[in-house]
Amino acid sequence: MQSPHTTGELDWDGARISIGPVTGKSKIEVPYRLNKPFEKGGKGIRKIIFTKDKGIIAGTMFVIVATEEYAKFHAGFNTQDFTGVIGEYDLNMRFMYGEYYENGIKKRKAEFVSYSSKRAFLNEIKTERECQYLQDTYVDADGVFTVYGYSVCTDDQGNSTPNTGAGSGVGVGGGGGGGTGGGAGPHQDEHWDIDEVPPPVISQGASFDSLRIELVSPCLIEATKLAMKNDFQNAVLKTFNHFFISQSEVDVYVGEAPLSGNLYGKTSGSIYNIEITLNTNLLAHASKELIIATLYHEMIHALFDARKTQTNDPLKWGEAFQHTIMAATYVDQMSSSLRQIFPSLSKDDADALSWGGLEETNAWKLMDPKIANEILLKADQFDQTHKAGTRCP
Amino acid sequence: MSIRLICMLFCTMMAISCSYKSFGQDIEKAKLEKAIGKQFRYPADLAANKVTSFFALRIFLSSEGKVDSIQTSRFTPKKMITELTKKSYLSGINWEKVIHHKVQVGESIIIPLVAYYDSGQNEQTFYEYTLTDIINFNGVNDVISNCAIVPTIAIPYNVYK
Repeated sequence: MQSPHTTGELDWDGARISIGPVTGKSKIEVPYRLNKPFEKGGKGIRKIIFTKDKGIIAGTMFVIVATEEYAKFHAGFNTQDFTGVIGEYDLNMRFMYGEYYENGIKKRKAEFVSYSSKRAFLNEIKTERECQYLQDTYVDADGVFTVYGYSVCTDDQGNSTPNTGAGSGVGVGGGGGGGTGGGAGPHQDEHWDIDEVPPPVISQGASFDSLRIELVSPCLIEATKLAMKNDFQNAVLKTFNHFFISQSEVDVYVGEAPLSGNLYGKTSGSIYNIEITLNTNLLAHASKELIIATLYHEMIHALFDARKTQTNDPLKWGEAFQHTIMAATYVDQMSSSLRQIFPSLSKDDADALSWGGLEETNAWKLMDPKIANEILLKADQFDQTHKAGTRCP
Repeated sequence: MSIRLICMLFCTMMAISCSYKSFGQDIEKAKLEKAIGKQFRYPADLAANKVTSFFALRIFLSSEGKVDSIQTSRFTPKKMITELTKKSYLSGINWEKVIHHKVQVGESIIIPLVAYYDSGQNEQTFYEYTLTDIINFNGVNDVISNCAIVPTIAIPYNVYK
């Protein structure tokens, strides 16, 4: 039985083993799911990694510590806008290495110095460096309550603080707790990738209870029929099954409406019903390729929502988080499915259509701007102001 | 005002004329929540604007415990009324297990419903409501008697693009 005081639990079903193709280093990653949202003060151990390299076995814990402001407005961790420290600890919870993020962007390395309180931190700062105080709490399985304080500073040049690997932190205990900090050696090659996708869970079959089409526009109906004829629903479910279990009682309705703005479609979901709305303003006369790509994107949102409802996952499966996972995981699958439906569609065009709606993700932002622009231009050719793709008569 | 608070106020007020029934058996509660949830298609245009809706169903029962008719309260989203007033989706509910007593002639059951955008925060804004709107069925603010009220069923929703 799990103690109600624990902040999370090891997800052994989600563990994965990998071997570095070049280094030959073996690695086992075990996710540590949060049980409590930030606002409850849960320390965010995110995963534990065991490595074996040249016969030496090591263990590391990756931990997230949100700023007070971020925790105030976020119940969970969102890779797109996270502000705080992502740190690496040894198995005794000694800080080894960390990096400070602002709005999902890596800003600088974190220096680990502990303080008894925020006041102590403010009194201590004597340099002109820009420092920030972070505090979080940790309640372990025995109910031991521990408070940690951190500072994250820029260096004298206003850049990241050099990683000395010699943090001298002392965890400030409360209620009998009290971690002890000790700097650890140089940072190894492990790192937290902000765009990393949660480890996949072996699929047992995603499903909807029903999929109901309530379209009116002839071209939207025609494109949807074409998709269904080509086993579209299974293709979507198969894609989703690459990373999640979902056995759902959700009914999905596909409808249409004139939506404002430049949205091709949107999805709204509640407990048992998910509504996909295709934007008639932009899709009624668009290519079937673009219509189906939009439907695909929205269907994935629908499945995410079904999954969220089913699992009551404490992480908020917000839109940005879903897009991040889509960008990292499903673009290739979607592209491949589109090409099965439209055999003459080139891979580049299918890829471009599959990137639609993911332009806010880090994966997109990190793309070479020239390539990103080419993708946008290719995708645009399929909209209703251009002529590429399969058009309705 | 938080959803919990507004529902509590509502239930307190209703207790003056209706008997308040907590869900006794989890199985029947789950059945009722699922039946309503399946029928609960929150309009996409309201969801797009992250609107919160608080309204109620009034279910009239026959002496055999079958659904005779369903009314919706004043601010029920218009697009939902047709679906929510169909009797068939509630046919599998054992109402006596919900209200813990034999159904009396002319008895009705009031089910408060809340749909809200799941922002992760507990605070929601209600713009147009007064609490009496929740018991305004068919445009009439009746004195409601011979009824039982069950706990509010909250249905959070999300929007993605």
